Amino acid sequence: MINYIIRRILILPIVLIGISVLIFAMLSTLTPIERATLYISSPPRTATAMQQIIHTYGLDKPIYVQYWNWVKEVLHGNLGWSKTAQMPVMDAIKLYFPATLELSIWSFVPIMVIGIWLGIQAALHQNGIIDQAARLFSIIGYSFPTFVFGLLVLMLFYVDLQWFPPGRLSDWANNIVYSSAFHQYTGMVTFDAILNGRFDIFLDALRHLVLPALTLAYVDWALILRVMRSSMLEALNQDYITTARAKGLSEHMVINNHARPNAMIPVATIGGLLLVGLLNGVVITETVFNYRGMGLFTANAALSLDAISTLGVTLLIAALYVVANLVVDVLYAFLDPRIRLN
Amino acid sequence: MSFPSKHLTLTISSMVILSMVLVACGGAATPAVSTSVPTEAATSVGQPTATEAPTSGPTTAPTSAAAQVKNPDTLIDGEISDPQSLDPAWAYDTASGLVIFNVYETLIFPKKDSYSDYVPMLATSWTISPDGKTYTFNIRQGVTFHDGEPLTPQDVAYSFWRGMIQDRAGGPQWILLQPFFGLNVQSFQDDVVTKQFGGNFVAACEAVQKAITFDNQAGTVTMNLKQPYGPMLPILTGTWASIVSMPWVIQQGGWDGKCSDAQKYHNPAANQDELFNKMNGTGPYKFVRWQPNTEVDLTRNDNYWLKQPLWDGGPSGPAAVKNVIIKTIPEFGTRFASLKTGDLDMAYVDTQYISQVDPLVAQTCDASGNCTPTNNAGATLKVYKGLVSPESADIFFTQKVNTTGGIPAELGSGKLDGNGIPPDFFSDINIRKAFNYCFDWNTYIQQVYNGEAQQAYGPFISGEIGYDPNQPHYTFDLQKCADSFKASTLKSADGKSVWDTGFYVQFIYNTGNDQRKVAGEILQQNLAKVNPKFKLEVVGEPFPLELSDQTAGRLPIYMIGWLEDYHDPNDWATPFLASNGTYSGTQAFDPTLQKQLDQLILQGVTETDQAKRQAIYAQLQNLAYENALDLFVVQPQIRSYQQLWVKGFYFNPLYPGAPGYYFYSLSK
Repeated sequence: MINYIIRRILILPIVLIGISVLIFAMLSTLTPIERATLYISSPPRTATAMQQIIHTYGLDKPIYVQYWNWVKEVLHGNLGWSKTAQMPVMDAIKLYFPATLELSIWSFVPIMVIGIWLGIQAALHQNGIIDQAARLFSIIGYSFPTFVFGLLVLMLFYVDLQWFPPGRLSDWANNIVYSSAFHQYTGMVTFDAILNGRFDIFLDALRHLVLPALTLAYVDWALILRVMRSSMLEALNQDYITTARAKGLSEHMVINNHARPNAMIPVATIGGLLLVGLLNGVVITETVFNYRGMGLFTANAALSLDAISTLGVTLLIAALYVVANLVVDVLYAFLDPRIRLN
Repeated sequence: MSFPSKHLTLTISSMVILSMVLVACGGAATPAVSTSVPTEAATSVGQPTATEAPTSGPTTAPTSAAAQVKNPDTLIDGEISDPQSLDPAWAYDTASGLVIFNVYETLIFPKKDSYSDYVPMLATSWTISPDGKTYTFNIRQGVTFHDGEPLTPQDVAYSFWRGMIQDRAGGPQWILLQPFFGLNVQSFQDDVVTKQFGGNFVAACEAVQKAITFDNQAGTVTMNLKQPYGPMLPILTGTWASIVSMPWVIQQGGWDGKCSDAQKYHNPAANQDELFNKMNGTGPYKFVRWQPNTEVDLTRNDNYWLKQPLWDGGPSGPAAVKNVIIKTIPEFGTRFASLKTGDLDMAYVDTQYISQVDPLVAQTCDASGNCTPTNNAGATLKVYKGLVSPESADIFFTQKVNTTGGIPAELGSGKLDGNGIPPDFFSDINIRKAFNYCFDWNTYIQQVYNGEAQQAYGPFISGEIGYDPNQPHYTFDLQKCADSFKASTLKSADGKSVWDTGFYVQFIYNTGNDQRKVAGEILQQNLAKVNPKFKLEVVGEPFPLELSDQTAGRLPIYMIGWLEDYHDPNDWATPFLASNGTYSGTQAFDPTLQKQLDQLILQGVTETDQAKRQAIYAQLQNLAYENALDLFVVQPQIRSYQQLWVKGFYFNPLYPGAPGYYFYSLSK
C-alpha cells in the first residue's frame, strides 16, 4: 500500500513539468505585444511605452529563456507576481483557495449526504413517490443553467426576502476580520470565526454561504442522486443480498453493511471528481454571488493573458487532481476488499 | 403508474414550475420596505421643484421619506473595475484615480462642476511670468498629512521629482515631462536621459530638481518650464500631480531625494513600487485598506485642513459621511440586486441594462443636480442623465497599411479585385469621404445610446477649445456617398474603378464592445445599399490583438475610443493628429499635411493668448474635416444611478470615474 502511494506521488513532478511546458508552448504562439497588453489597459499614450513594457517584463526573450527564468523562481518558492490578483501568486492562492475550499466543503457535504441518502431512498422505494420526486428534482437541477438558478435565488432570497446576501461577509464583519483583533488561522472565515470565538461572524459568513452553496448543490445533487440510485439498484439485485436476507439479517443490516458499501464505489469516483471540480473554483457561481474564489481568479487571469497567474493556478490544480485520484483509488481498496493496490 | 402517483408527480411538477414563475415575477418587485405612494406625486411632474438646493427633490416624492437610509455612516459605491495601483505617480486608470482623488490632493482643484475654473487647494495663490515659462505657487500652511506630518514646499517639489523620475512605462508622467523637457518628450529614459543628457541619469535627475524648486522659508514652489505651455494649469489637477509626503515615502522604502541613487526608482513594476498599496495624503478621507478585486475602504480625516468652503455651498470641515467603501462588482445582476436592496448607494449601470433599472427611478436629475420626479410607483432611486463624458469613440482609417510580414487578413486579397483592398485604399480622400457620408449618426445614437450622445465633429469634443457646434461636419447622405466612391481615382490591375470592381475589407472592433460592433454594422449595411459589391465585414478581436495590430499599423479601418487625460485641446490634438500620436502615428497621413498639422499643434500648445489658441485649434478641427482624416462618431453622455437618500452630487467631467465621485461633497 505504501509503495503504491509513493509511486503515485512520484508522478506528480512529472505531471507538473509537463503542464508547465505545455502552457509555455502555448504562450510562445502569442506575440510580445499581445502579452504586454496585460500591463496596458488602453492604447499607450506614448509610442515607446509598448516597447518599454515588453522589455521590463522580458517578454521579448526566447521562450525557453522565459521558461527557465520561471522555473528558477519556482524552485525558490516564488511563483511570481499576479497582475490579476494584485499580489504574489502564492498569496493569491492562499487567499482564494481557502475561500473556494470553504464554499466547496459547505456545498460538498450537503451534496453528498443528501444525494446519497436520497439516492438510497429512491432505490429502496423504486418507482414510489420518493423515487419519482427525486428523479424529477434531479432532472430540473441538472438542466438548469447555473447562472439562471443563481440569479433567481438571488432575486428571491436577497432582493425580495433580504435573508441571504451575496459576497462573503457583511461590511461590519469584514472590518473585524481584517482588523488586528481577529487572527486568520485557516483563511476560511467560518472556521476562523469559531477559532476566534466570534459566533456572530460565523453566522454572518454562513448566511453569505447559503445561496452559493445552494446553487452548487442544486445542480450537483442530481448527479450523485442518480449514480447512487442506479448503483444501489444494481447492488440490491445481487445474489449476496438474497443470501444475506436468507441468513436472517435485519433489513437495516442488509442495506447498510452489504448493499451500500458496494454501491458506493461509483459514487466515490464521481464524488472525488466533483470535489476537485468544486476546488477548481466555480466561476459562474462566484460571479453571480460576488464570492471571490479560485474560479473568478483563474478565469480573469486567463482572459487577460496573465501567464504567471495561470501557471501558478494550473500547477495547483494539477497537484490537486493527482492527489484526489490517489485518494479515490485508495478509498476503493477500503470500500471493496476485492480491489488490490499493486 | 398508479393513479395517486401520477397525480402526485403532476402536482409536484406544477408546484415547482409555479414557484419558478413566482420568483421570476416577484423579482421585479420593490424591497420589503412598504411605503405609501401619494397620488399627488403623479401630478407634480409638471412642476419641477429643486431649483434652490440640488437633489432636495419634491416633498411629495414617492417613497423617499419612508425608506430607511441604509448604512447611514458609510457611502458604498459599486464599480466594475479594481484599482491598478494606489501610487498617484504610477496609476493611470480611472479605478485607481477614483481612490487617489479622494485621499490625495493637488495644488489646484476644479471649482465645483467647472472644468476650466480652478480654486486654490494645496496652493493658496500662484503667479505666471509674462513669458509663460515660470509658475510660482504659494503653498498653504497648516495642512497635515494623514500621519500627522505637516505639508511643506519640499513635499510638493519632491512629489513632482519622484513622479518624473519614476516615469513608469505606460504611465501618466509623460504629461508632466512635456512642459519641463520639451514637447516631443514621451519618456524620461529615452527622451530626456539618453537624448538630452547623453545617458547620464544623475544629470537628468538634477535637471528635474532645477526645473521644480522649493523654498520652505518663503513657502513657495517654482516651476521653470522649457517653453510656454497652454495646458499647464489643467495638468496640475490630474491625480498624477498629487502631493505626497517626502519623509513618509522614504519610510516606506522610497527615494530619498538624492540624485545619486535615483536610477533604481525608475520604471518599477506595480508591485515593486513602495506606494503600490499604501496611501498617506492630505485629503478629506484616509486610506484604511485595499482588498484587491473586492473593495477599497476609506475613513474620514477628522483633522482635515479645509475650514472654509472653496466655492459657494461647497463642503468644509470634516466629511459628512464617516466611511466610504468602493466595491468591485463586475457582474451587473449582482450589482443591481444590491442597488435594489439599498446595500449600494450608487452603482455603475452599463448602457445595455438601463431599461432594467429605469422602472426603479423616482427622480430624473441633470448634471447640476436639478431633479424632476417620475411617476414610477414605489421607486427608490434617482438618475443623473445627460452627463457629457470627456471621451469619444471614432473610426480610424490607415492610409497605408503595414504589410511587412504578409498581407493582413483585414485587407482580404490585398488588391482591388472585388475581394479585398490595396494597402493604400484609404489614402484616397474620396474613399474616406464616402465612408463618412455612408454613416448614419442619428440611427446609431438612437439605437446604441438611446439618444444620449452627440455626434463628434472632429478630434476636439464639445466643451473643448476648437469645437464649434456650427462647424462643417459630415452628415448621412447615401447619394453623396455614392458620388464620392465614383469620384475615386483608385484603379484595379485591369484599369477598372472602385465602383465597378467593388471591395472587401474587415472593420475591427474589440470583442465585448457591442456599441462599436453596431457602428460597424451600420456602415456595412449602408455601403451594401450604395453598391452590393462593397463588402465590409465586421470582425471582433480580443483587445490584446486589436492593440498589437493597431500599434503595428496593420488595421485598415478600426474603431476605438479616447478618454481625456487633462482638459486641454492638446490632449486631443496629439493622439489624433500628431506624427507621433497614439492613433495618427500609424495612420500615414499625407506628409505635407502631417507637417502642417505638427506645426499647428506646436503653435497651439505654446500659445498663451487664448484667442489665438482658439483660432489654431479651430483650424486643426477644420483640417481634420476637410481631409476626412477619420470618421468621427460620438461623444457619449453617461448616467449615474443613486439612492434617493444620497445628497450633494454634481457632475464634473474632470473627476476620475464614470462618473467620478468626490465623496467629500456627498451626504446621506
